[in-house]
Amino acid sequence: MAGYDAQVLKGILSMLLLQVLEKTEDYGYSVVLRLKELGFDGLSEGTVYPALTRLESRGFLASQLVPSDAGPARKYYRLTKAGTAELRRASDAWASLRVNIDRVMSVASATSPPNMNSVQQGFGQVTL
Amino acid sequence: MSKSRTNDSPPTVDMAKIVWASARYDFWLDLNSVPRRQRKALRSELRSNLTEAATDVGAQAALKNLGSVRTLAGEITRAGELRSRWLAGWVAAFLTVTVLMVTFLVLTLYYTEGVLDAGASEPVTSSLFPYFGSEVVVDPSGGGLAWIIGPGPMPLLAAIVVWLLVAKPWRSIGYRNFSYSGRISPRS
Repeated sequence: MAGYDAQVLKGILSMLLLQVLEKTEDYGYSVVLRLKELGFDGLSEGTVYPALTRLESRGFLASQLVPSDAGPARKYYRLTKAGTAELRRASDAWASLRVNIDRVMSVASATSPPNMNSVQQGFGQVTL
Repeated sequence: MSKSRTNDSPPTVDMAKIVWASARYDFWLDLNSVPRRQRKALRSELRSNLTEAATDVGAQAALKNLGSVRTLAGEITRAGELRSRWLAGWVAAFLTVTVLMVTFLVLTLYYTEGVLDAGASEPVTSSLFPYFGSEVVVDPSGGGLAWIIGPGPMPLLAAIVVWLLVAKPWRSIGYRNFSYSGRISPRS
């Protein structure tokens, strides 16, 4: 994936986590790996773990401990009903945002770049 | 439930690094006033995730990817809504005042008994330890017995301190909600 803005990612991370956990319950490190495999290779565990905790504390995720052969029990997260509703809301909001962004981008790309000759002719004559 | 990626354990040196990181994480959580039970659960979760990551990429890379455990502890504390416990604070403060007042009354009775045993005939005024600012006046004159008692500010101050320690109101002041909340109204 091309470079993405960390602030943008921060804004949509909750939605991504809910989406990843929608079908399959999973534990923190595995969630990180799945997101990395999906293209968010710069994503750090230090960003994902608090986000999971936040979603759980807000009632969007529930968790259970499952014993592990490799070490301490793993904490598996799964979506709650509230989480499913939140995912739907966030997805709708994201779709709406994408439509608006696409609209702006298509308008901007349809117009010609600034004509520097016009700019130099004086104030108020900048051609877009 | 997704399948675990591996069941191998990382080498002992890596495990030591993970344990050390978990201990530091616990320390910072403790400094953020996270209750012991939650600290234990959070520490265990981090250790589990780090163990798995260390098996994949080694402990050094796993810890590097994790970033500062101090920062993580701060983020987790805020994210977990480990907020003020107002009700618990009020209950603890009420119990503190009650216990201190009952104790003060018992001490006053003992003190009065001491004054009467000493055969005092004039009013005796004193302050009872550790109730600083308290006043107990025992007046055995005239064949009767009269008291004027005031516990002082200590019970109230103790209740305030207990309330602060239990309710932890600064958690609410410092709480920041930084989750996704970008509701966008679709344009019609």
